[in-house]
Amino acid sequence: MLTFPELTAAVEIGLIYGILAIGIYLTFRTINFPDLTCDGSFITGAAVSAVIIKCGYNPYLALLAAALGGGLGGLFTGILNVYMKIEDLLSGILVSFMLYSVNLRIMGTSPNLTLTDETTIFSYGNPLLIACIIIVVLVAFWAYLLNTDFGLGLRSTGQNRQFAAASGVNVNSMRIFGLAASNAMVGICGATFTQYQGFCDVSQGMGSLVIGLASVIIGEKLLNRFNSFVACIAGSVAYRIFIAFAIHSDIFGLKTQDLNLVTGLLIIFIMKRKKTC
Amino acid sequence: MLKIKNLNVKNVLTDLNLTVNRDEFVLVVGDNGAGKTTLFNAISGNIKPKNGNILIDDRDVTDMPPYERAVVVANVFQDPKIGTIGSMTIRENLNMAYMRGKKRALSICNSAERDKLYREKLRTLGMGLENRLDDCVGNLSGGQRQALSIIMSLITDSKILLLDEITAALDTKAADRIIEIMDENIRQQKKTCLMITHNAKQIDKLGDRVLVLKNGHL
Repeated sequence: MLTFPELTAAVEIGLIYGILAIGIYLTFRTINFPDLTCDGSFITGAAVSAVIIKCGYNPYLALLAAALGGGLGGLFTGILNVYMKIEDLLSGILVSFMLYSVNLRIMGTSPNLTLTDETTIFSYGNPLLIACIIIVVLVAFWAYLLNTDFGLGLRSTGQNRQFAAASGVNVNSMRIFGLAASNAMVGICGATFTQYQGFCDVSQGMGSLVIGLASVIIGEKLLNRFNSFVACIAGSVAYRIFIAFAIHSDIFGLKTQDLNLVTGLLIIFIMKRKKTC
Repeated sequence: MLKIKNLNVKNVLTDLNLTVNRDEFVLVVGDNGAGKTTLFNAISGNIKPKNGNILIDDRDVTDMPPYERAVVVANVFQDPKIGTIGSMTIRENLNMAYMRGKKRALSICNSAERDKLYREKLRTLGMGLENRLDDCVGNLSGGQRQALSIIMSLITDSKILLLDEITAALDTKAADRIIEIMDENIRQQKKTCLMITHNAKQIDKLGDRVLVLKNGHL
């Protein structure tokens, strides 16, 4: 049976992964780019944050550095795609693949780092409250940005590139900006999650794309009339609660190792039921 | 004034020379594959010519990317789905057009001043769109959507207006209304305009002169 602490932990992790969902939404929905960089940039953010904290710097500064690290990954994907004409999917896969080595370099060749004795953002108060504050700040930022003239230009590149260019939008620059911004969000998510769980492992970013996509799709299904970013957060929390319920409730004899299978089946189920409008 | 000198594009247009004077309304006709849309794409910067020059008001814009050229060249596409964004509201589409050629700043794009201008422009259509600024463009009919894209093309002070078979996707009644709106606005705003058409009625009624394109030549 799912206990209250397990449910609370699921909500906290859901909120943290909501940042990832916002990043995925920005590429997959806003600029319409199937970006696979995030499996690598998630760990880049986590690794940069862990190293900065271990060096004794402020954990919030570590979040900003993580955004920069993840953003650079996205920027590189954008440059490969726009200027070197490498296909959308392949440019993301290549950068994600290369980031594995970069991440090991950042972590000093050790595949994992622990932060148990270090001060993290979660040392300052209730994790749920801190996660909520970060989410509110990020959602407000993106909700504002996408309603500016610049944000409208960014959105238009994903909806209708020919129209965007004819309206004076530099589509290539917007695409690169969108990828960098999205991966900056993924980096922040990696950093926040690492600080939450107190360690960083070089392989923990695997599957982050699928988790992010699941959150976006569930959110759109649950709250399609609300702000898209609020829907992403709600989708992420709902996804975590569902997974926690499935794993901890002993229904169908599911165990932790079944997580990926359950996630995949959940996405298939939601997509099958998703109405097209 | 638009001046095209010895333009060669992808073996479709060969040594094409053309001058369109300020405020002139020119119709472009020709068979399929004659190079009409290629000519428009070259003027708007979507296709880079092999050689030749395109000058707008004596300024060479041949190497200018399309997003920079949008300051001086506005398009209305054959398919209103290309000329508008269905998932955005009417206001957001008009905001996109309003910012053509301006620096896209980090300030909220909606304002009472802009709304007033949009309502004023939309009222001229007589379609009631001025009261539907928050409606998604995807919910409009083809005729309404094309009328909106014409208003969008006229909202900024672009020097050249390119109209590519703007009534091809519409029924006769909607097409007549669109042409009426477009002609009225072009005359009023004194735009230099090129329009591709296959419609004999439009060829008779509109324009100051007719250009016939055949196998990439005028």
